[in-house]
Amino acid sequence: MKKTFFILYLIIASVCLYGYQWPIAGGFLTASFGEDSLNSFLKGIRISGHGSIVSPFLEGELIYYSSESDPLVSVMGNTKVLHHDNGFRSIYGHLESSFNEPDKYMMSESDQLGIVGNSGRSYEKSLFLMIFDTKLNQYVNPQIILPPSGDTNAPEISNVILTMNGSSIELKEKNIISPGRVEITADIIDYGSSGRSIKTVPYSIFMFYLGNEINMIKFDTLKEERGELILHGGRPVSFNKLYKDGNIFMGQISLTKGIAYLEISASDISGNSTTRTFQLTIE
Amino acid sequence: MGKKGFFATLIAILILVFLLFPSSTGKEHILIPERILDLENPENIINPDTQGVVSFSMGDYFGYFTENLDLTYIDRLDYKVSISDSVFINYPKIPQILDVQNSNGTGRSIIETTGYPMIIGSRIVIISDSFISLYDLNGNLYWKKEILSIITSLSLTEHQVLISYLDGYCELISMSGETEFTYRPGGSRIDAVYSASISSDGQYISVISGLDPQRFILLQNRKEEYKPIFHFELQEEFRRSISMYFSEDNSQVFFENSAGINIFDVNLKTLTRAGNSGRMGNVYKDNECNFYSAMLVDKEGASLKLFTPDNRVILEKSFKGDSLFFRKKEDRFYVGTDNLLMSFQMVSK
Repeated sequence: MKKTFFILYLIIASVCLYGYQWPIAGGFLTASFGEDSLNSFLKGIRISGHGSIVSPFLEGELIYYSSESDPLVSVMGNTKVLHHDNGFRSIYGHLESSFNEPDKYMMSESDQLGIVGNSGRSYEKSLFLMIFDTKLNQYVNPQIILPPSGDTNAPEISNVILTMNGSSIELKEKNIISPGRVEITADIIDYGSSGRSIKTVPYSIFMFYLGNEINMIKFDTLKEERGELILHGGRPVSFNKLYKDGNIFMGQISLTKGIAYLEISASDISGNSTTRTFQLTIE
Repeated sequence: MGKKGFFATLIAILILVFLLFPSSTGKEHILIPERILDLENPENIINPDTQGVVSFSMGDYFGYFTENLDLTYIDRLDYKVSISDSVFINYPKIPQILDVQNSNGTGRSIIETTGYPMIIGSRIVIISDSFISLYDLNGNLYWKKEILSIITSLSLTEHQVLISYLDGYCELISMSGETEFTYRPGGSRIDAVYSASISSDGQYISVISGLDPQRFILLQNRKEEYKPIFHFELQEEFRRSISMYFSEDNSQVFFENSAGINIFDVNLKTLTRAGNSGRMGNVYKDNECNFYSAMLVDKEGASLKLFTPDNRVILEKSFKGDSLFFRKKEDRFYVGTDNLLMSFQMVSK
């Protein structure tokens, strides 16, 4: 609990100290931090918007730029990287092709960093934004520091699957099942504020059984530990332990005879939340 | 006239003679045009041969030709091509698989990946959103690792891969995927590594790091450990990946400067700035005649320059165009511009 308050304090303090802004006017998410991106965590967010001009999310110094025509072709296409006074580095990918050598390096929030494009491995025009904290050596979910996007849609929880001894059942409101150790997975998605049915993952997910917290997943930061990225914020978890067959692995529980309640809740970054409760009659 | 006056007059005459009749370079070098190939209308493609062909990639086209500039294979780019003298991968913008083909166009192997490839010697490095992996030309995987930062450069030997990262460090990885060495140069206001290169014998590593100041660092392998042995601050600062590599005999490091090429002598620890303008393309060192040949590219086009180690230009030829190509093989120079491939032979008189 203390840790959560500390992170919240840090976020509020940094928002007060630094005027973060969305890099595209009227920006909305098309892919969220930590979601399954080709069998790995997505280390940033993808943004589309009404505007096409990309500006820094915070004033900073341009320390790197790469072009689609460089010998070392990046899947991020044309990319620019800014270094900020607070130790953050922001990375802007898939910018429109063929920009000239930059004529200045100190960029304010009102400067044009580039144009939204689809350079590199990208189907459609969108901006890929990553924020790396050089002091703590971790990728930070940009959503927790960007201003609220005005999202009013709550996440959706579906396909809650209980697996025991290799056989699976989809949980309904009331269920009769045998005792034993089971695994729970769920399909939890957030459609965000775009109104375009773009599936992203929510910001936090909890699972309770018999009133006890079984799992807490929060998409705050990604940090390298022993050569692999670990998601932090809730209980630390690696990619292979979070995603199973496209669903989110919620945890294991032991079912003993009687009536019990399983509760799963999910919230987005704007605080919209959904809770589903399942009654389990174990006999 | 006193003794002093006599010597002063003698020195003045000697200086005058030296200025009026500078010493000859010994030989005159002439580039004689041999053939021109129009890639949009190739005359004929000779029977594909996989031996001794030269690869090219320029504009929309890539392929192979013989030393006499006979075309053996030509195709159009899909999105990009990674090509060596033995194999190529012509890949789309959104790849699902990569088709590794021999220089005659026959299939060699298939690699399932969503990343972009880079063929370096007999290896293929693939970088995707999250992973970097190393394969042989037959599609066999050596290793795969999660990428934790932006990769700014790659350099390979027969046994190792050197990767530099924007986060300010470089990492040397063995063929089995173990990290043999990591190096974080530091010493600058902004930590970043913009380029790193390893000599083919694995004895030296050169690194360009940081901003304010940006530094060149040379490391040497001593007792199976790399130690910095020389460093200096660069006159200009790059904020992008910098082309840098060792000469074939590993005695020099070539890397960009804002007006051409820096040549660092590994043994003498001296730096020569060569060329007057343009971005460094390919550089070749001719050990027999002791000169360098380089292509320098700028907005107007490119210039092919032959120069001595003390930066005396012995031959210069300008080319106009957007897509440029340059290779040197023995005494032949192959230059490509705007879908035209040309071969020149250098004759020394």
